Amino acid sequence: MAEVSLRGVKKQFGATQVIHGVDCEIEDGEFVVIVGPSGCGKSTLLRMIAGLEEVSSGDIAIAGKVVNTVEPKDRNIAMVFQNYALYPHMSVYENMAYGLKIRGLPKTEIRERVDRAAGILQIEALLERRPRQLSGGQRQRVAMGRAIVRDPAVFLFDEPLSNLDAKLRVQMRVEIRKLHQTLRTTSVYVTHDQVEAMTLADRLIVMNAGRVEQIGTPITLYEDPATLFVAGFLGSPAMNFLSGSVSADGRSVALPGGVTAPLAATHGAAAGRPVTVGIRPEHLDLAGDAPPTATIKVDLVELLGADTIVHGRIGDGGLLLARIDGAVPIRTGESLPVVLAPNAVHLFDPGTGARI
Amino acid sequence: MRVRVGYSNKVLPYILVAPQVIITLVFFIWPASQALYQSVQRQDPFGLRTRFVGLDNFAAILEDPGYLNSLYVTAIFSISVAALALGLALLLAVSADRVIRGATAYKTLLIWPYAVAPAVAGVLWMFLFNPTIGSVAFALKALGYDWNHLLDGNQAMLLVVLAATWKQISYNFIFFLAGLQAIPKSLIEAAAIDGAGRNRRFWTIILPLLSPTAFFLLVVNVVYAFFDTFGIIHSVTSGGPARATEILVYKVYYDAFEALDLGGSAAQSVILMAIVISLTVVQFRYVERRVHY
Ligand SMILES: Nc1ncnc2c1ncn2[C@@H]1O[C@H](COP(=O)(O)OP(=O)(O)OP(=O)(O)O)[C@@H](O)[C@H]1O
Ligand SMILES: [Mg+2]
Repeated sequence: MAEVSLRGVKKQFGATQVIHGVDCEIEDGEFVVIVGPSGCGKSTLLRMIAGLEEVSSGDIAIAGKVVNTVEPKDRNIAMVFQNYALYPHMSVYENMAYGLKIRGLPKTEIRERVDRAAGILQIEALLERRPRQLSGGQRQRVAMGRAIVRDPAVFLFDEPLSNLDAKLRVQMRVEIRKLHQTLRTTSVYVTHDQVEAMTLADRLIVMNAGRVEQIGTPITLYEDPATLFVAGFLGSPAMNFLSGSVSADGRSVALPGGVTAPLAATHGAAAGRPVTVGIRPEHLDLAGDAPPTATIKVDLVELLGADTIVHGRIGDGGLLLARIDGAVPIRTGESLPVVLAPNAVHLFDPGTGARI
Repeated sequence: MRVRVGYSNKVLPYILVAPQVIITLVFFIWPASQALYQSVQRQDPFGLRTRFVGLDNFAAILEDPGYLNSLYVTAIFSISVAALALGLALLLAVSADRVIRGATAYKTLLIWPYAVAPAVAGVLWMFLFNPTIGSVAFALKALGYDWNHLLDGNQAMLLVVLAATWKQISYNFIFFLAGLQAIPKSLIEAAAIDGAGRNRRFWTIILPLLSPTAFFLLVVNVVYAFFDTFGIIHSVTSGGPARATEILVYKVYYDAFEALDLGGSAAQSVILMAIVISLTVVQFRYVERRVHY
């Protein structure tokens, strides 16, 4: 068990800077998910923790010891790769035993450990098979088995589920979470899937273009996104962004189509300024008998059963998605009165993207 | 129900395989059967009369100490060439794989020898090591080592082994390098995280995954050492001194065209064919079993 600290970690490939200084403390036993769009540097960061890439500047410490120049094998970590990276010429048993054999453990203990890990992952029946005789999900389990037999201080996962179909992905996600509840090993998990990130993480690190946008629990990030990027990245369907301007008294915001939405707090400093207004689709509700905040002109309706997604407009250019609970009979072309809670309105600086 | 894929036209399949069959007939079956036919004949020195002698030619060969010597020489030569060419090529490929970005120049240089004809390669090496004018021989002499492969059988053997190996390394190198680059990098990384150092990764991960390539090259190299090295032997030593480098294929040529013993030479080539066929069969049956595909 160990904590992992990143202090001012930067990475350059030749002249291009890929990671622009990451600071983060990962606590012992924590499950941290690094999430961000493709190419933002998630894998690079993870590979630096693993020791597969050198750190250009800054420090990485595992269990309090700076490991910048320590070989991967001496970092006491295990990694699960996206393509599983199972040794094709070895049986499942040999794959899992490989690292233990190198560490010179006695045969009986190797057998015991592999059997225990195989039991946890329910792959006992597959031990004699070769990787190519396994399905994708089974390979994934073997790859995790290979990681857990070693009982490392830190687990590193690089998009381990992205080669699986949607159903299996959900199932494995739950299993990884359960596994972590049993083993309590510090884990760093990389994904670009925000649902995976939200459901797995104790804490999330949202990255964009080599920088950390925000670190926090999934709920904090969902409710209090620090930047426009985080707000837009988390949540499905994505947050609506409208251009608006804060009223002179700073207590409401004017939206397209003459709509005025009240704000929960007074934004004196931003009074009169143009802002980007963020509203989550799930925070728009049918007005019912209450006075509506806005009226949406409905363009398209998606009935998903559990909820209804309404694509509509307020005024010109004010495109808006609303997610209404349950299957509601709404028709295209209809005008839909909706209400919006004041504390569900997020304001961002249109220039910097920072939360106001 | 099994779906059978086939041609509705009865003639087309035969037309399609015909070129391959014709090539095999003209370039393999016909000469091979000629050799078989010749091997049971004996001709007078002027080629005027030919008579059937049964297995006499074979009996004569197997009692000939020169032939037994040639068998021994061939074994030494082929094993040395195959082992050296495979080993060195693998070493070079592993080094190139590590520095693959700067490796283009390195690769090009290594591939050149393959473009050189065996006889030319032989002449090149012969000049380098020529006891009177060769620069390497001169350098060796300066170091106090007396090089004269025209007199010393072991030195002659060493020289043809070197020349033949040099010629084959580039071919092996290309295959080994391609094989190495086909191994996913993440496998090596996984092994590194599992605690394997560079050497152990090589022996437990890289080499097993390279074994199909290595097996293929083994077959090719053995055949090369048996047959394609004729040009090198011919230009460097002509089988000498005192038959120290007279490999089987060279002896076949020499006995037929210099000694004019057509029947004996044909019998030798039949035996040579049998040897190579059985070696290849052995390789496929016993070595391939240990190969991980
Ligand atoms: N070896 C390398 N040499 C040069 N550039 C690299 C190298 N590896 C990664 N990069 C660059 O670094 C950036 C980050 O890559 P990285 O693989 O970390 O992205 P990622 O966030 O994992 O993306 P994905 O979700 O697609 O896996 C990319 O722009 C990539 O082109
Ligand atoms: Mg990646």
